[in-house]
Amino acid sequence: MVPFIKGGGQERGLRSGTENLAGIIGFGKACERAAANTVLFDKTIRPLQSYLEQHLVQMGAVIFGDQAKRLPNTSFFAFPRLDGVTLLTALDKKGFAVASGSACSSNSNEPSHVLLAMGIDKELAQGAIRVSMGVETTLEQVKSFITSLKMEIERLKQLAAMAA
Amino acid sequence: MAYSDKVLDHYENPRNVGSFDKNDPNVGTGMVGAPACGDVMKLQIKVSDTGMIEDAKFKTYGCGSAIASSSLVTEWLKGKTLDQASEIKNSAIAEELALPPVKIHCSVLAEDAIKAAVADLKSKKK
Amino acid sequence: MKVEKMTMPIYMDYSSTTPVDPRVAEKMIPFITEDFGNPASRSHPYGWTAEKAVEIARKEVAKLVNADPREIVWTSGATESNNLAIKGAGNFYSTKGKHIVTLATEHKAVIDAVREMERLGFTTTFLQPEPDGLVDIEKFKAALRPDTVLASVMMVNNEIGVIQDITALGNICREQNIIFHVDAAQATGKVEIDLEKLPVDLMSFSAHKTYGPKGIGALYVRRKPRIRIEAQMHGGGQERGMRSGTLATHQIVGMGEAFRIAREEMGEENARIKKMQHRLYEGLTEIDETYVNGDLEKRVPHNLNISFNYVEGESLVMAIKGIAVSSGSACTSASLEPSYVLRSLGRSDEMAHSSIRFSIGRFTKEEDIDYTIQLLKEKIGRLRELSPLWEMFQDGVDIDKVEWAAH
Repeated sequence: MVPFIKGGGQERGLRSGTENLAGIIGFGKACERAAANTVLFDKTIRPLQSYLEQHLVQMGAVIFGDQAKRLPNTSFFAFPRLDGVTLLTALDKKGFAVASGSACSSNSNEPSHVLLAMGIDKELAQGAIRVSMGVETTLEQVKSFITSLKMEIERLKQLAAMAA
Repeated sequence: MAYSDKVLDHYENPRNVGSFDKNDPNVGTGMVGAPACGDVMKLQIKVSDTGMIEDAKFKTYGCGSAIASSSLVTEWLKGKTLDQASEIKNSAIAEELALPPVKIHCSVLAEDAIKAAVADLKSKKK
Repeated sequence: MKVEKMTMPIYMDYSSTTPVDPRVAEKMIPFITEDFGNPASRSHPYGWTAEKAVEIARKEVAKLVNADPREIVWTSGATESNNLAIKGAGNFYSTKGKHIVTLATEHKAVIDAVREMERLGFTTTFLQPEPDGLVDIEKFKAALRPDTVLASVMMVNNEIGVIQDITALGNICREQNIIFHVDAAQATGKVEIDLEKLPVDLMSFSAHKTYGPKGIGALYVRRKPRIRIEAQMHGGGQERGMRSGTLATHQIVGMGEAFRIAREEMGEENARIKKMQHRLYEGLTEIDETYVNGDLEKRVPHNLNISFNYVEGESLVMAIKGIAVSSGSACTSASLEPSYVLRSLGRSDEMAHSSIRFSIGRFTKEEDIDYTIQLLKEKIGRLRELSPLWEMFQDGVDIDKVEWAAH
């Protein structure tokens, strides 16, 4: 490899720059915990994901990649004919921090390039919402999220009906 | 850089530091190394009329291992004949002080200093 | 694995890195634990809180150097900033010319980035400074060519602490329409920087030389006239596309707070440190045959670099274990070469080897200075007693005239 940042020759010359000591120690510790908790992570979160997605499907959502091997904590979905950003804003007001895609591309309102590459229809992709959970997430939170989501979808559908 | 305990001991408490009058006919002086290379050793031996080394002194400009190597040989030289002195090998010095590979040249320099001091003395005796 | 705690020597190596100011650390912690959001998350308050903190920090960094916050681009540190500035601007403007001018005494991050440009077909000039460490303005001017596209000169040298005349050098670059980059990693909080006045296009900063955390820095990119750089890291398009990657909120907050403290306290702090530098200088130069490396006046108060003649560098470092310093000698670095900075000033290998960089700062106490002086006096004396060169010097022998047997 040709080093990309040159200088003091740290990291056997592959990546120069004073080591981010505290950051490195933090990374090491996080890896240590992650290694110890991988099984636990799956055990605690997988049931929450199943519960959430079961309800999402009942509500008419399309879950992206649901047939594929996936992480237990991430659900990426959309409701046909419902705009993602509108839904996101409404959910935020109810106290739920979720995303429309990955954070670094949140600046743009373009639909996720990943979904488009998967062959998802652009209109549907525009409605995409990503829920990603952690070990601290509880079943109560998931239930409360589903209730709020149901109410919002009903409200938005009514608004759409009135507009039509 | 980690130094062995023996190097540290000689560095902290160097034996036989000093100088003899280099014009004394019974004194042999060896000066080896160069400032630009980072080491200069001056080793002096003083012999009795019977040709026995009765005293030795050194001064060294150099790293801890160079100081320790020269300090050690002043101890070893005392009581030896010139021929015995000439037999001191750098490998013995390196082994005694447990010098790491990058410091082997210090022991080589100490051996050179002994040879130079003996040669200087012999040239005076001719 | 536990790292064994040693008895720590007195820290006199502030130019290598500084401790994080406790006020900085305190400000950082909430952004690791509670306010951990990704500043790029636009859909919830976690993201907004983080973004707001990042922008406050950006203002603080800009304020210290009197720049517009929009001119500040976050990086992982000065090494990355230097690489981004040199490769980024060099490549962007390469149609204008392919010649770069810099100094032989720059930090390795600049030297190696410039060397990398050679690999890409650029030609380069590495100017030797004068014996005082400062570049001669006329020689700098003479080195510039019609195809010179970029010049890079550090504000404060990391080894000898000398301050280059950035205004004069920058004006020359302006006249000839050459992009001017300045590595200011060692300058923040030590010298006044006013980028509204300074004719500088790109400037590199580091947090950890100014009581902030390691792993964060910034590059100043001038807006008027607008300077363009080619991004070196591609991805999420953060930092207006100039440097992608999730922003390290807590690190950025730390840098902002560190630079705020620097702005508010540097006047008083530098006066105090200057006094200690003077005390150290007076004490150490009482020792015979000591030579200060670099100009004594055009120098930051934090630095004193001294060569102790007739004493070998490695044994000197070994002798002064009670203080933590950097030396121009082998054992501190992996290489066996003497400091290239001191060699550039025309110092001999021996003098470069026997040099010690004392760098002091915010938490240095007067008693640390006194201890250092006493320690050096005692140890230099002892090592010279051991030194055949010292003996020869005392006997009036000119060491330079002696013919040494090479080995």
